[in-house]
Amino acid sequence: MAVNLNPSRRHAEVGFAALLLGAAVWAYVEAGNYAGQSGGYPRVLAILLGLSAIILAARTLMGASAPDDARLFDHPGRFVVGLGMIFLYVVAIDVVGYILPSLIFGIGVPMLLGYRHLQLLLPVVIGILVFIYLVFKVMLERPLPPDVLDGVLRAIL
Amino acid sequence: MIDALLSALPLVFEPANLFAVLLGTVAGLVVGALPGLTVTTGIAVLIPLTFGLDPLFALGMMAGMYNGGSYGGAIPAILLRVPGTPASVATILDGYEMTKQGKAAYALQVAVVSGVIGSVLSAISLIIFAPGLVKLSLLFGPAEYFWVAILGLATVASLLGDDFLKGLIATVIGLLIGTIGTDISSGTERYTFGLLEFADGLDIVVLLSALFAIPPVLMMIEEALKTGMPGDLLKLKRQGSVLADWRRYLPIWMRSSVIGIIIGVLPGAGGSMSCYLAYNDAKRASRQPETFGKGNPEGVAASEAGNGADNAASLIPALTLGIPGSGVAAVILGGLLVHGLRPGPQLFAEHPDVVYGFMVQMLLSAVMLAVVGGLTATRIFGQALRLPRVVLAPVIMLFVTVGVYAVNNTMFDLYTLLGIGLVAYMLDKLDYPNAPIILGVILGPIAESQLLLAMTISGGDPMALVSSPMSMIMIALTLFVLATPLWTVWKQRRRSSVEPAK
Amino acid sequence: MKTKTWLAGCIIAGLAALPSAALADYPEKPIEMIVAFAPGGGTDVAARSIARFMEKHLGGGARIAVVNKPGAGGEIGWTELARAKPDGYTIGMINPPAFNSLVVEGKAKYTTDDFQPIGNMVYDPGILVVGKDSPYKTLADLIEADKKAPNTIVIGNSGAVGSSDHIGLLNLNRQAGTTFKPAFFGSTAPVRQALLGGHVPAATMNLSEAVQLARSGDIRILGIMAEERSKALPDVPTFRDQGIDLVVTTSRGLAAPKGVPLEILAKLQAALEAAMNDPEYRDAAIKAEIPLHYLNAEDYKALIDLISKNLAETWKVTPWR
Repeated sequence: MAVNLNPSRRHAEVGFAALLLGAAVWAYVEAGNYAGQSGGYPRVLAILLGLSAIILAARTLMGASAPDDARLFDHPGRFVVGLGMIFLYVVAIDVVGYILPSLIFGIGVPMLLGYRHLQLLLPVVIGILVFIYLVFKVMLERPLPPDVLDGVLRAIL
Repeated sequence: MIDALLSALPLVFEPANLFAVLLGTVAGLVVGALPGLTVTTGIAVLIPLTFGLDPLFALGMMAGMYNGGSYGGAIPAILLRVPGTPASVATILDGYEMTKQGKAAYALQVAVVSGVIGSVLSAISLIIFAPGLVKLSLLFGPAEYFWVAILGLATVASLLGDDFLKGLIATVIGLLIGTIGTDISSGTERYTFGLLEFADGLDIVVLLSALFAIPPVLMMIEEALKTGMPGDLLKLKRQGSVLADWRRYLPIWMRSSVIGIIIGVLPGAGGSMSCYLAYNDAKRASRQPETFGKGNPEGVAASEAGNGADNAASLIPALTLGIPGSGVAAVILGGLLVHGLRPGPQLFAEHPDVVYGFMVQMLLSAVMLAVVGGLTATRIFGQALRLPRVVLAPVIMLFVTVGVYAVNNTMFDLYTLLGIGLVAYMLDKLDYPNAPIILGVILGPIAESQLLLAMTISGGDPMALVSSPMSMIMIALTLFVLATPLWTVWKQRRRSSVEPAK
Repeated sequence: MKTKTWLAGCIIAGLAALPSAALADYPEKPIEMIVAFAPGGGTDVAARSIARFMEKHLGGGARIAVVNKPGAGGEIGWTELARAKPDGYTIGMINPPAFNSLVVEGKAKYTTDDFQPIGNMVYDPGILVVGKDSPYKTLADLIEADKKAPNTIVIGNSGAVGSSDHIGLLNLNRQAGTTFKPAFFGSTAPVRQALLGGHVPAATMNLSEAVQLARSGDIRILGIMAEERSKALPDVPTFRDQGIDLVVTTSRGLAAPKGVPLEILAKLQAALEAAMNDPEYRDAAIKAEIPLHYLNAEDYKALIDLISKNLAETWKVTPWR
């Protein structure tokens, strides 16, 4: 079970090469739909990618160079948490807007990882968000993702 | 020319105009340092505000923004491994390694001094050679541009890292990503999944952020280090002065600047390429090419000098022919037009004071950059590294998400960022180099479209590719670039096989 | 029952009252101006410039924020504009004929009827140009050269497949019986450079992109694809002058989603007209050689419909994709 979550480096190497090969095959087939030279160039690239992936996989499988016990992740748990938080963060931006999720993400991730110095964390995250807001929204008029806080901020500024 | 320069100087040094250059330089630094914001955006927003102002005030701000922004990209590249601009990818290779070794302050110092020297030389060449250099750019047609792109791709050889096969795979991935979008010659949509958002290809800022920002963020979270870099590592004095080491860097600055100026003059080749070529050149010329990519400050010097030298030079075809050498030059051209300055040979005759004033401002802003960028900005931005890494990781994400969203104002890009970021993390974890991906993405489409154009124009005759002297020169350079790493390897092997015999 | 009617009455009255209350002091919040191209492009700069002057002439501290929605040759931004709420707080730049050709190709998720034009700003005809040292002195020379050696003459194109340049060339080939081949450079700067460097024998682009080079004598315009000659270059003949009925112009204008209240449309149209007549704006535009050409909402709609009709005819005979 743990092996699946944290594969050995060697297995990961071969697995990724297999993914690349899959992508190359798909790219080759898909390029068949493109007329004339529009398809020729990507097809050549796809063949090159596929061949390289095969050679890489073969090299890894035959060569005994990499010690088999080297794991891909040092801390798989934290990696999963980090990835999950980033994913939730982006989805939250989509739903709620930029500022609130950023505040929660900026403060929440360090706290989840065991960092407790709020006297540093709070001013840093809030200061950076204010800076971003000023540069993007006020100075350059670049829109931020629409936010539930928009009305409040407009009233302040 | 001397008369024009002399009549322009008092205008340039009017307090208001001086302030404009300073303001532009600072704004450029900020804009360049934030991923997702570009100098192009900054200037585009600026232009309408400059109606009715003194032309040199407006142009001074643009000049400042251009030079400031081009250095600004190096700051997050060196400190955080997040390239602010495509051009700063080559700076990452050694700059971030130096940061990891605790030499961030020195790396930033190298970057700013090299950038300033490149910009200054470029501005001087703009002032002196503008009318002459433009003839050079006209020698480049589709066939020649095809070879320029191939030359750029050949520099991949020096970026591959230790594992040739993985470097090759990374390059091919980049080339394939480069084919995404509508093929302009046939209208065929390639690999777009029928999504409108992919019809123009993947946005380079999205790709840069995904490739260079997401992996380190995930790794920092995985490490969960609760300490930051000790403050004394950021103090300049302990790490030596670049100016004191000028002998070491001088040849790199000169060669990189010449490369940057030449690439800058060629419209369409663009800033990122001059960095790669300059980096490649420095590595090739170095006695210890194997230290490049492992924190050799010469790599940073080459990349940033090449980057800075690209700036003013790309204005040469813009001013003399109305052909912008880069995206930024194109917007500046728009700014010139708004002020009634029509580019072309007659520009120098009709408005010598403004044109030469603007060129002097390019020079001036480069010098200001040394002060603003070297002393102030570097110190302020450098403090970011003192943050504990568990805090720094989410902070980087805050900048990345807002920057990526700002490019096209769409959530779609953020989800793309997630998807590519995950793949990029895997690539990084398995030691695939990611600079070749970017090079492939940028140069692949140029090579493909220019080849096709050359073939269309010649009626399908492949000899057209090698018919001009300029093509031959480019081919020779490409072979040279490809051959040198092999030559070095061969020389080293010979030396090591001879030495034991001693 | 009675209460229900009363309630419904109230709601209807309320609904009716709401917009008119809003109309009285329109605009009471920032107006978004969608630009379907990236910051820094010609359309973007035009939008940011006109926005500043429209703010002035809308009065009352009106704010117009330019929002870039680039991608897919404008389709993303225009689709967004078409789907926006027609309350006058979302307007956008449209660029016929690219704007129309997406519809004609049957590719777009909008139709031209989804928009309420506000007014035209720029009207820029296509041109056919050669370098100053070209052996082709006139359009007739070029056509004759093609007849002698069909399928050999390549004409640089400042756009991609389906651009106004491309469609113009297809129409030229059809009307003059020629066989010019387009070489797609994607944008104007590279094709201009290729022409100046002698890498292509001839090229098509828009007039405003070549005026300065034509004045300085670096290139020669063989014909303008417009009804009448340009005021900027009165010596250059049109295609019609030379017996070929070829009219291809690109335009740049403002539009709102269909269904925008008439009072708001009138306000926007008046502000656009006033902005375009603002001496400061006119001055900057003339200096920048931008061919300003104001058309009111009604005339602009007629122009857009005409462009669509012509495109549809071309598409039937020579589909470009």
